[in-house]
Amino acid sequence: MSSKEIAYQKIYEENYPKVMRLCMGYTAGNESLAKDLVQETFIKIWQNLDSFRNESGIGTWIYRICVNTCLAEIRRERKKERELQIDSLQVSDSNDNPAEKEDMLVQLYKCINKLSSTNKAIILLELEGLPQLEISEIIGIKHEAVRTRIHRIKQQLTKCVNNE
Amino acid sequence: MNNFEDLQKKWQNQSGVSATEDGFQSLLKSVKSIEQKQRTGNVVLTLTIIILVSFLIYVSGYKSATFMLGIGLMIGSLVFRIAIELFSLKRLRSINFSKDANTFTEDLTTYYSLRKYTHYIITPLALVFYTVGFIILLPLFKASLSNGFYIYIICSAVVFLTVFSVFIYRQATKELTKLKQLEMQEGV
Repeated sequence: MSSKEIAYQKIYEENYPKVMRLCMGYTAGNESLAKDLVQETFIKIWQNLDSFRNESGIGTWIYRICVNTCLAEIRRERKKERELQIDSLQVSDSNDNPAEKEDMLVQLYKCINKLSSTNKAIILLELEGLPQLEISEIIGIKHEAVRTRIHRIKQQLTKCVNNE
Repeated sequence: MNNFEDLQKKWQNQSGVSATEDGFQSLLKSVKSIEQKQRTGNVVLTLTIIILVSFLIYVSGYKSATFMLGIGLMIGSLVFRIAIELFSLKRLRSINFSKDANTFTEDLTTYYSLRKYTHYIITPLALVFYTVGFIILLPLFKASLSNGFYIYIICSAVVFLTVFSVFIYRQATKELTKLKQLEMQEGV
């Protein structure tokens, strides 16, 4: 393998889980659509790897490509494919009842899917535990605005998941 | 009752989302295949241009102004439409996916807005010029070709125009829907 390919494999292995979760969030848990988007994201990463200048950190750069790929491509999905495909949803934490957790994840996907594209991106990045400053750099809005918006979306999402 | 931190924990603990060696190899294969297709596309385009230019040089020997006008309109409209499509493709590929989502959405909206001119003005004009060119050539075809071949040319032209129009219409509808959705998306 060339040095570019070796670097690319490292990027792929380190970032695949977060890219996959983000795409799953965008596609309401549709694994097949999410995998297409993940593939599309990593193809763009390869195509742009030579122009990466490390100005924003590789993580931020990858998240930007992933969010934009989802924003650009998500509209391909057909209506029938929008139905939640929940068979593959699994949680690895064994402390609580797995069935209960699975239900909650399904509900979480449903609630995320009710949000607008931008709010979806913001909350998915927040769920990943990204600092709000980084989220504002990825989305392209001011830090203060992101903070306010996250607070609002968190409340909406928690209420929705708890069926309030 | 779950608070946001619980949700966050469960979100991050989802399994079945880890990378695999097979997945990477398959991705690398796709990447190489795309690069190969781009190279093949460039070769096909170069060959097409060479064939069209050679054909134009060949037919320029004909002194018939009607023939030159007809063939010129047909090839000209086709070449112009292909050139616009290639320009659009280049522009779409130049949209930077590593910009922030706000700027990216604006760039994408601008791109699809410009495509409206292609779909509403350039494509119908190209189709009209192509058809006019073909109609101009019809008397020459009738005079120089057998009746059977003349009918075949008319039928194949109708089929080509119909298929081409349906294809363009579907592509235009898809892109315009996308533009509408982007415009409807709230300001970031």
